[in-house]
Amino acid sequence: MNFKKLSVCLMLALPLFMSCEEAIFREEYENTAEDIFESLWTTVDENYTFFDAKDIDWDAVYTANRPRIENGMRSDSLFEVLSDMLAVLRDGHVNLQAGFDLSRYWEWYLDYPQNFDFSLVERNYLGDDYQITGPFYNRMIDSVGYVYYKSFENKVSGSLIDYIVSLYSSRVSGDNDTTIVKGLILDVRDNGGGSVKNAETIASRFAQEKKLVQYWQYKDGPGHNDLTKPIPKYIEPGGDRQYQGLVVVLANRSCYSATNFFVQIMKSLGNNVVIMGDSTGGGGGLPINRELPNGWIYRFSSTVTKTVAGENIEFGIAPDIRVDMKEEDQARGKDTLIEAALRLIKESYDRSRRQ
Amino acid sequence: MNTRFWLVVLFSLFSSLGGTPLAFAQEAAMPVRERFFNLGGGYTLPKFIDKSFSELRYQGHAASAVGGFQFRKPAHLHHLDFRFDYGEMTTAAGFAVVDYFRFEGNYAYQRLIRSLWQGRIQWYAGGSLNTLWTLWIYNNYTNNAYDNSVYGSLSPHTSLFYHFTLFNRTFRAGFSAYLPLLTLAMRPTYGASSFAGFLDDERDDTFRQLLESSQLTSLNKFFRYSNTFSLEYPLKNANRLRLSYEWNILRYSEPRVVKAASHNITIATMFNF
Repeated sequence: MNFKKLSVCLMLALPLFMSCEEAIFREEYENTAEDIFESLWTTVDENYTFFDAKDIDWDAVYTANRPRIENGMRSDSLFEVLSDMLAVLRDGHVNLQAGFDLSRYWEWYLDYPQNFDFSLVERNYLGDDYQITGPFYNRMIDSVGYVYYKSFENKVSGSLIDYIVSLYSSRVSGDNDTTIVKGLILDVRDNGGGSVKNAETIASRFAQEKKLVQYWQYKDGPGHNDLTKPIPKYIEPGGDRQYQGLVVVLANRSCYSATNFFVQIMKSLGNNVVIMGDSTGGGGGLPINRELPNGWIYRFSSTVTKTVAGENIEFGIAPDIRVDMKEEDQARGKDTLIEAALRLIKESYDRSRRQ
Repeated sequence: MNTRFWLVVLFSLFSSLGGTPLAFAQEAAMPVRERFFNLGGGYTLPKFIDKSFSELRYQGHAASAVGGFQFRKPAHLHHLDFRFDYGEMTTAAGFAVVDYFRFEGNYAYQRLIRSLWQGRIQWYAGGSLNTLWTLWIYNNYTNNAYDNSVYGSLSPHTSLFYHFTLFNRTFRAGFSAYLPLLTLAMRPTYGASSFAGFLDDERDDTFRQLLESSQLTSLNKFFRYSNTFSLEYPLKNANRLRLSYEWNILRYSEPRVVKAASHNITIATMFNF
């Protein structure tokens, strides 16, 4: 065989390799309504972590919704069926995202009082000369530090939170000018979450010692209860200094996901931290993303987080002191929760001065 | 693994092995001893499906950088080769984008088994250590965007070489293939994109963590096959230009099925030293 013949052989062989490879790479599910439904149901069945905790019969969900699916149905009709199916999970971390809509479950806060009005806080507490330190809106109110943190998606660097801790700590400056700060209000109301890393960074400035705060479990098999052994999560003191005064964390039902984690971690830290307001909305599973055969993206909870006492934080964190916004306070331009926090901090400070 | 998959593998193996010995029946010329340092670049057409992350098949384009050392004697060969790919992949459905990184390092030792076809073709066989790292970053994902895999394999490795003269130059045509028999594989754990041994961030016993994240596996769960066709063109000062095409396919069934393949064309300069 000469050079030309061999070249022809090789050139013919290469397309054959590639065409056979196409057969190997055939996708398991086609881009049809029935396959999309099967893919979604199966993936959630094998990966979602709260079926038993929420007493959900996922097989019954299949039986109820499968007859609603037929190949060739309109995209918006398919989206509606899939959204209905996912709504059964009652989970704010579950979304289906198509180009034209986003399915969601928001009853974790819509069914409860809001207990927060940022406009009221801005006009009557922050004023027009508050500091904007990265993601933190902050100022001193009657010798108490007030910090509002709107979203855990906004990155918190160590130096930023160190600055906040330093700013609202009592101190004596070089010329013996003493600044008294009686305590700190950390307001995370309406904070829908973001990065758990931010929650850990902030909480580390309030931890006086290394402390076990949570247990995490990951899925390790397709069964509903196939979970890893609980993995302990600790918070260690971090940064330049730890905040020594009393900290009141203000929470409402719109505190979700990373904010839920943050409130739970802060609650675990002990005597110097008080959680005030309403229960958080929950969201105790780390959400992960997947794709359907038609390219739609969805997400769902893939982990379980429990407190040291074994409580599942998916259902929210109860406050130490329950306080709801009063209409009469709102009418007077007062935020009931901030007022209660200011009172608590001042009383605590005065008590400690007397002892 | 389905029958079609194995048929394709056998076909590829036999057609590759069958094609090269028929090559270039001109003259045999085997240099006594050669040492080369290789450096080059090229293009890769990668594709993959990872059921742990998506139902969709991703395909795209990547740029490649290659390097390595080759020590050749008539009786044996030492090859140390590296390849790095970087590119972007998309799917036919949706607007998904994945950043694609791939690093491969292979060391092969082969001995001359016999000269075939009246000494025109040299057949070498031996073993190789193959390492492969892939990182696919799903741009639309948040907590599980990073799909990291590491494989270390022991493989039988075979090569066929044929020296022939064309335009008064001695060319070297080659074919080589390996098929891992024993592999240490690290894939993201079932429910997260971390390795199993690294879920607990309190731990700092890295070696144990790596061991716990690995699975020793063989053909029943892990299949990988690679073949390379190459053509070397002599330059002055005993340096060479090397044009090569590699087809590489991988299938691993843990924690869920992942399939990856790549077609790669590179051109490299082989510096004699």
